[in-house]
Amino acid sequence: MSSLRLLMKLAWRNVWRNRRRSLITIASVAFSAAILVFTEALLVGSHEQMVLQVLDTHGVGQLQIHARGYQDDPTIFRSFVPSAKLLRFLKGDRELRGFAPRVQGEGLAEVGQESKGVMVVGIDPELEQGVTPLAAEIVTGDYLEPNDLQGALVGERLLKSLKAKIGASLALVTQTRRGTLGAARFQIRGIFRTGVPALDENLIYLNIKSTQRLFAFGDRVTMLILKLRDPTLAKLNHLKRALLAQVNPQKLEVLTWPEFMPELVQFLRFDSASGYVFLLILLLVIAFGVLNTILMAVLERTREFGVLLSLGTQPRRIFGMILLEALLISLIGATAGALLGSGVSAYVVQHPINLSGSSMESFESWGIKPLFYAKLSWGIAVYPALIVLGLGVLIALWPALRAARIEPVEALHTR
Amino acid sequence: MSLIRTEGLEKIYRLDHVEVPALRGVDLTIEGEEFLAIAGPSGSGKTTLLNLIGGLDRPTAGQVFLEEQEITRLNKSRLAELRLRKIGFVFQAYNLLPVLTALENVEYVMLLQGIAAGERRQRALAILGEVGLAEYANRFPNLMSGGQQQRVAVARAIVAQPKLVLADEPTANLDSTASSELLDLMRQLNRDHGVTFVFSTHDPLVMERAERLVRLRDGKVFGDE
Amino acid sequence: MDIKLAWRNVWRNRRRSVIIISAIAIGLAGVVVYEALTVGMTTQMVENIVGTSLGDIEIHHRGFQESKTLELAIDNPEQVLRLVRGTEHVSAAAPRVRAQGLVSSARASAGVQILGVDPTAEAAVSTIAHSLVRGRFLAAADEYAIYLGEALAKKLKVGLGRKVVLMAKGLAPGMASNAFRVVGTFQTASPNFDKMTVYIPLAAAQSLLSLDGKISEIAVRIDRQRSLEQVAATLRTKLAPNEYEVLTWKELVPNLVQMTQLWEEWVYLFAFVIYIAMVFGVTNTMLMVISERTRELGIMLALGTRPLRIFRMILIESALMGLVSVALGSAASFGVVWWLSLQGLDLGWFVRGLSFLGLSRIIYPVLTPSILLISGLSALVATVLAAIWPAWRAVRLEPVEAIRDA
Repeated sequence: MSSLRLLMKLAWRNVWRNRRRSLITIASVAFSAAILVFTEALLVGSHEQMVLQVLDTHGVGQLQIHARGYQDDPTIFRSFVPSAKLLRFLKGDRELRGFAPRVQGEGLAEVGQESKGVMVVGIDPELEQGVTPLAAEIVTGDYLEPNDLQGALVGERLLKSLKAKIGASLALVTQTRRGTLGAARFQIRGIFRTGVPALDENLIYLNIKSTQRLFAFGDRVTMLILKLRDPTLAKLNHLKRALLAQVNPQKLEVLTWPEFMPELVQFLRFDSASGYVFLLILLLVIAFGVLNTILMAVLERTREFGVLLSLGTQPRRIFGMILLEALLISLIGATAGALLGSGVSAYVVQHPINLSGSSMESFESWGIKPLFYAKLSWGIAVYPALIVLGLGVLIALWPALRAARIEPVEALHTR
Repeated sequence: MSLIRTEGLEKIYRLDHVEVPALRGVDLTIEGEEFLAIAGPSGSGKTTLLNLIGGLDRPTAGQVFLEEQEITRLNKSRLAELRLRKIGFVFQAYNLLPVLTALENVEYVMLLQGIAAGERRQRALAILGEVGLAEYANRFPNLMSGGQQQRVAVARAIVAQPKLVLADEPTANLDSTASSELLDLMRQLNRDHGVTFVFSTHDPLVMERAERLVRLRDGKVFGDE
Repeated sequence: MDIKLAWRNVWRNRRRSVIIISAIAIGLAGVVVYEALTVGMTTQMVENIVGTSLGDIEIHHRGFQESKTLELAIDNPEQVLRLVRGTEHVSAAAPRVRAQGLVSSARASAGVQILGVDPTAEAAVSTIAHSLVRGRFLAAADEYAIYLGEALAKKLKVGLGRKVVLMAKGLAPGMASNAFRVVGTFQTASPNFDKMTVYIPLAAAQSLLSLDGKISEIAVRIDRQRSLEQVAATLRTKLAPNEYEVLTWKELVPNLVQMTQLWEEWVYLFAFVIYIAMVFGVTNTMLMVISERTRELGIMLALGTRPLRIFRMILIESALMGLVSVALGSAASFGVVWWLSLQGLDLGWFVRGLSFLGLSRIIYPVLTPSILLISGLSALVATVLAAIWPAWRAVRLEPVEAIRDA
């Protein structure tokens, strides 16, 4: 029997001297570890899904190419003609699921007596399908045919406030790039619903060619939007660097979604932070409970430590023994908790928590489904468990120090 | 060279502003291989004296020399080392580690000394045989009688081959048969291993068996025979 | 007697009691502060939206909320206003015209929401006049003046005193347009609102849109939120139901209510998890208490103490610790909330802003008595529940064994 093994054995048997107490302590450690793992799995999983869904429903792609300065000053006066070289590069990129040109500008829509300020978006009906789910968001009527220069797709809410119907004639009045007035008539072909009120009451989709005419754009576009097959941030940034080598950065800007939708990043950060504050409070409460058990276990064994000291045990060895006991308890608890948390998370990965019908539906107005997604990875399962483990040992420092400082004579005199 | 020498040993306990003198100047010399009893009524300072000799406690005044080395000023860690190498303890309440078997309790001290596993086991088994508990080697303390537990405690005290074993009222919790058996065992170990035994007692039967008897009263040596 | 005994028992092991009391107090304070910040946030969100452009209550011609058409207008505004202002708990009321249009400068144009307001009345119902960045708010004497979002002014590249053209479809056939002079710009907590809203004098709006003295809505402010439904109900009985609709902000922005509710539910879930953590700690502590006192409890039983009394004593002991914890935890949360309310919690160190939520960067906690009461009671209930199992074990002790056990 090696000395380490005897020490382990000693610590192990000490842990189980008071089986019930140790089990409750382990359960509380496991509970906190499980909550930590599950919360992290939910945060990471839901945030990933949220980003993809928000980008999809807002139809903004994951990467955008604009004329330089458009992000800060999004007006029709900032536009560009995509070079043949750039288009060739985009067509050849294997990582891309699709890319689409956009022409965007403000206008006033008029149907009969009703009118409303709107955002006019010109799309290439075929290319658009590779990037946004617009075709699938049509609830009545049809998506735009590739050569239909007269057709318009109108948001459900906008249709209502214009008191229009499918097939109705719609007049658009705009200010052109040159400052003159542009106007044209279109026919409502389809009605879409994204679920986001701001989009459903403001957007009108037209063929890009008619839009270019409406704003006197020629061959210019407002932006190119891109969608990747595997939209990780690393891949996005990689593609961004590759694109910057292809274009003249003096004239064009390339932005990834965190750059063109900073408010989404802000929200995710805020959401994570409030989650972590909650976990911190939870850990504090658990930590005090564990501290109490370990401290009491130490005080109960004061006499025993007196014996150990009189046998010639070095105080630091007693210190180490208490830490070892705490480590064992935390290790069992953290492992059980990580397994439990991962198990529950794994189930939610397969079966996202459906919260439709609850107040989670308010998220739909941001283009997010009322579902809770989870994600599981080694890091998500292991890091929270390590935090709990470290905390368990940290807590034991005080009791261990007390045990090491015991005076043998006094200790031998306690009950 | 004497094994133990104390000079003007004094110990005063402070209990809530009241000073209780436990020892008031004890001068005592103990030679190697002695079998010595310290006797006296309770409160006479027996335990305090043993604790000071064993380096478990520090005197208020005076000095303790172990093999002419002064131990009263050593730090905790040095004292622990000293106890480990030279002194064994036996307590009134046995004080075995409840989570270790008899064998493991005996092995523990050797573990602290850094003795290799094979040798530890061998020596522990041998010493348990010597105290007549070979077949109880794998029992936990709570499954043994008081006499048996105390014999394990003696085995634990002796296994590290100390110069000195200090036993504080080792028989106080035992019946007369078990007491007698324990004293026989201690006496035998004293002869076979040449270990000095110093034990405290207030039992006349135990005093009779000692080779030398030091009487304490009110913290002073009152008789030495 | 029982309480005195339990109280002394609590302090027998001072260190242990202090630790477990700290655990509960910290958990409780955490829950309360978290909740106060959440309520602070939702209150701010509501105030930012309701106070800027809506009103606690809005009165429209029936069907307006659904269709937003100008045709459904209130044609006797003076009469309705007089009626509304005479209602109990109504602190202010203002007429508004609400329409869609296009605003253009020489440089750019933007689709906007046009709000035609009575400057004096509007300043009493909304905070828009206080959101001033440059220039001034509309004044009663203004004719064709316009007050617009700073962000919109930037986009249109217009400064104070410059002219913009408003184009809109009124009740008369064809597009109506008119030039307005910029008198001031504003900035609210919502960048979207700033980018798409312009304020013009009521009379100018009525003439641009050919409304002929009619208005779209009456915005009402009340003096206390808890009377919201009551005031709405009174107004509904006063106004002919087939001609007018009376909507509270909760009906105007149901989404906001849902969002508020979502946050609150999340906080409840959070609190629940914390209370479970407390239960673990208290159960373990009380089990230690029982095992330490096994002998003593055995003696009590041997003396003829009824088991129920022992059961009760243990629960009282736990409840007393709970009470001390709740007192300390409440005091601590008061302290933290008070400190936070001095300068507010600046979210700026980790987020640039939550303006898309209608939130400002600085959050002020709102601590209501009900938060404190409910959270405190829950913590107390948790500590008592946690003691049931240990107390049950104490009751089942066999006196003889318990005494021998020591």
